[in-house]
Amino acid sequence: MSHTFVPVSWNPRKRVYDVCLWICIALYIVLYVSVTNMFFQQEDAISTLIVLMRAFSTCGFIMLTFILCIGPLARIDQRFLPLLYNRRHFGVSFFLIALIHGALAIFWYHSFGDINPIVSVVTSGGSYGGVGDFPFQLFGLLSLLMFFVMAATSHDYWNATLGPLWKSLHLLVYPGYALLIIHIGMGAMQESNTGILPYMVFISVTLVGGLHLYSALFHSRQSLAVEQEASSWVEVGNWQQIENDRGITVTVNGAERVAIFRYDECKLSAVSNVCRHQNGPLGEGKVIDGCITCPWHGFQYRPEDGRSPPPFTEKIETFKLKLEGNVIYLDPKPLPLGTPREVTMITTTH
Amino acid sequence: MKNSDKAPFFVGYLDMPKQLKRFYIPLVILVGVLSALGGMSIAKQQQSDGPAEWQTSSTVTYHGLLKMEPYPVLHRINPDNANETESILLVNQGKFSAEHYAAPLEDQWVSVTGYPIIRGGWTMLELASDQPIHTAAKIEEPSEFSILGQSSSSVSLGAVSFSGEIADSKCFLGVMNPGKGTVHKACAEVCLLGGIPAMLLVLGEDGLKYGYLLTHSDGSSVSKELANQAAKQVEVNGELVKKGDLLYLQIGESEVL
Repeated sequence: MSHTFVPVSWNPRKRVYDVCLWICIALYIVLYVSVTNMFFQQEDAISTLIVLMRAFSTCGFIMLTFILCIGPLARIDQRFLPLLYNRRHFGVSFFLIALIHGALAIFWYHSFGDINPIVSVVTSGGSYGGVGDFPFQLFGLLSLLMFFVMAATSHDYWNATLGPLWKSLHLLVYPGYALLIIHIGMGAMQESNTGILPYMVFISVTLVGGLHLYSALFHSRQSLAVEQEASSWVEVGNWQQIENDRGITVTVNGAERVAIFRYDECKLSAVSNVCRHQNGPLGEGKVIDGCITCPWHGFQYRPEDGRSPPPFTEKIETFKLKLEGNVIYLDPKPLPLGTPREVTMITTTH
Repeated sequence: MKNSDKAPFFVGYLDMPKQLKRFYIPLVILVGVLSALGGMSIAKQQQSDGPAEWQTSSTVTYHGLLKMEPYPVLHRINPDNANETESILLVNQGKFSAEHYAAPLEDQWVSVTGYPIIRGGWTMLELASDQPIHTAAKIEEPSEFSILGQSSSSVSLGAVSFSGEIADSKCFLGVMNPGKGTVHKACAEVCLLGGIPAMLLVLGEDGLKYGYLLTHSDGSSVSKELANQAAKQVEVNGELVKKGDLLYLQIGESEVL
């Protein structure tokens, strides 16, 4: 976690992540181009720029499929959380690959004529009279613009500045993916020789859709649902259900999400379940070095007051707890951000 | 909900737990291998739209009779067989017609310098940038002039009906591989708007592609009017006309729309 904004935030883990990512990208593109040049020579040579366009487009499509699978994979199996940790670098890398594809297409197909290449992207290659004749490249351009917005605002500065809007903005990845599928379906898949492309699209849609559906049905963020009645305190359950240094997530009246942690064996603390960084699920985190640690990017908060340890300044809402026997009771009314309250001590034995 | 403590907890700025390292090392190697195999196998799935060639390494210079039919064409004696003539389509650089250079020299004996574009029996010449066409100092072989004048005259082959794709001849003949189809549609449209000769690509029963240059029924260029039909499959009726060794399909106004 960081308290100042630098252009690109790296640490050793992120460097390893990025190096592995770009080695895979380079392997794919270099071998794609090399094999094409090896098998299609002289009179059968496919135009170099078309080969590059295809290499970057298929590479980008595979990358986007992978990016969209990381979220549900991490929910299904926490061992995939490290992939989520640096997903934004993955996303920006994907955008760069897609941008190269788009630039090559504009250069090769839309330049060297009487029409401005950018105008040609909008006006050439079809008409707006019918769905079947709609210029397929427009869908690609629109999705590229969406990915640009996401890449340009991927930095923590924008995350902090835009607040809740940031998350909504970055959900554009789904309409962007849908536009890309239409772009491929109305473009390359209309060719007489589509090769392996239809299978790639089928596998991608099945993987992305299937994993999202499976994780939503069987691995949704599980939360203990409680109803608040007349009393301000709601019964949560036995403290023994919480492992030491771990938390549980409680949903009160289907709305307020609260994370209750047990730490130092005998202390209980309730804070908001929503990390201030990227809305990560704090209740799935762990208490490390005395701080609640978000499972997504490692942002930390003190259980006593919901504040990040200095020099960091993030604050989350805190909640009051009380213990009657072994049973935890929660006051679901959130206290202001970073409000300290008395630590609930477990005094009974189990 | 009770969190499982079996999974190691990953924090990006701390050392990765050993269990996760054991999980990730083979996974990263596998993804790397799959990236390499993916790149190779997807590339191998492509198909060439050739054989076609755009020879850009050096220019060639051809001599012959320049005609506007309505597209600029150079008719010349086949250098390998003096009894045969060949017709070479001329186009400008980029996505433009060569009309600007050729029209003032129509029906003259000229030398043309450019880059050959070759597909099957077709030869096209993309003009070189600097003084690509100029009249020959003298008519070296008057008899050739006369032969070429006769061979390039128009001969009607009758009414025909063809189904095929409207393409721009420059890209299809070899500047791009592939130079037709939906992905290439916008490029074909820009080319046709620039006056590149329009061509109907017909798939013959023998599996080979045949190209017919398209013109209006009065023999004028139809490229710009057909620009918005680029890459579409159409059925076209018209009169088949032979000029030199090029086949033209002259189509009526209703066919253009």
